[in-house]
Amino acid sequence: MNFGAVWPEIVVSGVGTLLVALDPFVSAARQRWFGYVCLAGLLLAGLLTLGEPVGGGSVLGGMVTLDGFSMLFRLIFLAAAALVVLLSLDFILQRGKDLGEFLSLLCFATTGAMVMAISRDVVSLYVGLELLSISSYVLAAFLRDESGSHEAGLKYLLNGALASAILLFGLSLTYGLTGQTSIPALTHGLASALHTGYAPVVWLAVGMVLAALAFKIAAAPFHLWAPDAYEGAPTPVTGYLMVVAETAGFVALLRIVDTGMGPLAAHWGPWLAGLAIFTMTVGNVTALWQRNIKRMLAYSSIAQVGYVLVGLAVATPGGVSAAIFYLVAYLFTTLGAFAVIAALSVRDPGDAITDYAGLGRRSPALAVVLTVCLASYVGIPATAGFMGKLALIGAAVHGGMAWLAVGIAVNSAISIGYYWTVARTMWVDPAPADGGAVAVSPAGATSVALTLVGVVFLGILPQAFFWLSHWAGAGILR
Amino acid sequence: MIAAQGIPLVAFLAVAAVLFCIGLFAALRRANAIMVLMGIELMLNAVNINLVAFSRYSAPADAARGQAFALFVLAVAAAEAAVGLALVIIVSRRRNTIEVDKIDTLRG
Repeated sequence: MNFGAVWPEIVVSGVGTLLVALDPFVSAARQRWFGYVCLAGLLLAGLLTLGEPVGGGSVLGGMVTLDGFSMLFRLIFLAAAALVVLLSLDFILQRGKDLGEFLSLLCFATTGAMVMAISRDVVSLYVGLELLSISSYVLAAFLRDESGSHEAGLKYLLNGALASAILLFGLSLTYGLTGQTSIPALTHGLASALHTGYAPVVWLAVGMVLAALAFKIAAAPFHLWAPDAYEGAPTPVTGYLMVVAETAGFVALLRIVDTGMGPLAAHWGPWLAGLAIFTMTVGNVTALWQRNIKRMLAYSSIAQVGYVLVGLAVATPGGVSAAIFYLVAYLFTTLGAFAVIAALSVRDPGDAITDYAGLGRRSPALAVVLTVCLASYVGIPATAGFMGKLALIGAAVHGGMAWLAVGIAVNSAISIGYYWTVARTMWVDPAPADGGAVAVSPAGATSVALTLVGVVFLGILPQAFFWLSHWAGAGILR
Repeated sequence: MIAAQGIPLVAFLAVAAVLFCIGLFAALRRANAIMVLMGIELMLNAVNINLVAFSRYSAPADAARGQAFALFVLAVAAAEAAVGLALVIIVSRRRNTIEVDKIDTLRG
């Protein structure tokens, strides 16, 4: 066995184990060091990923493939995890919680997401998905004395486990139809099973896999758990779930549906298109009524899932690469917004939008970053979100689904309504009498600055990332 | 081949389908968190029956895949149940209820 291919995963899970083992021996005053150890481990894993040869071949008995897609998504997950570590240090320490335990769960969840990214077999993909999900359930319930947090954890678990069971039933049927669990083998097996009289079973399997993964990415009408889980979870965890757990859901969709069920694209494409338009509309319209910023961003993230689904629905290589680009843009935009929210809630637990009144005068830097992130969500030019939406609209028009492009445009217009409310509250409304400047720690400031650079860089010089997402998505659609 | 002699594959699949539907019904009724977890366990058992039955009737070269998959499903289900029960205990201590519909501080 050649374990060289999975060194990045070994390092990240090793750091997780190390942190939980050292945790009892490190005094509360020195817990901050766990954050630096964790960041060093994530950086090392990133360097190891970059150093690996990209062959597209398979290793570890065909369970793992090292193609461009696995490389790019490993790096995406590592970058997102590192940003979440930075923005969670003070949030967790201020609440007197165990940072070592928190970070080790974060490492295990990230390992799961990375295993999904490199999987070439539904068995390893499922194990990665569950490692990510089970760690995420605990992370969501991490502030277990707060009523919102343990409720979020329980609801996330009950819905996530239900979705996993449905996914597994679908996968057990694809195994029965083809005798295979490797994804490239499913591609051929399912297409031929369709013509041997087992068509209804093929449809049942495809439908169950699609519905279960729609649950995991929180696409409407399977999204009802998401606002509760995202609102109740600790703020850094909400950012992590929105970015890593949802992106991992898209990794599973791209691998199992686009690759494994690729020859059936003419059949599942229209379903995904309907799911996309319904998801973005439900997300945007419901977000208009929200008064809590985390809950508002939860509905906004549901809307973003709808936009990304457009790239998958058109089932063209251009659509896949546009979806991958949008996921990267979404990573920086969402973590930027959550870096600001986490910085503000280090001392003050309030998440109401009215708590942001006068932020433009109290802390102009934070207000500017949050405004840029909201502009990126809307798709204002010179931000990452604009380039992402441009790519998706282009893919929809070229893929012969121009009505999806119209859907994106109309929904972006609707979304201005609620993003504008937050911007107006920050810049126009007067600050409360007791509201002074918000103190931001160096770690928090670093996470804010890095995400801002990401959002602006992708908006002004997107060519390199367009090329990367095209390269990574090249082998996905079969 | 002795055990399966005379029993067609479709009989196993029918049992699995019924078990899956019972589990799904229990999970979607959302009465009590323990009932939901038990429903999900039933669904996973249905998956395992499917996998093992398919592997029994598949070509010898493909048989091991289904059995290995079933073992992974078993192991992961145990981990999921452990975390699930731990969360149910936390919620029942703090709120004195595990009725899913009554755990509703988050809404809007």
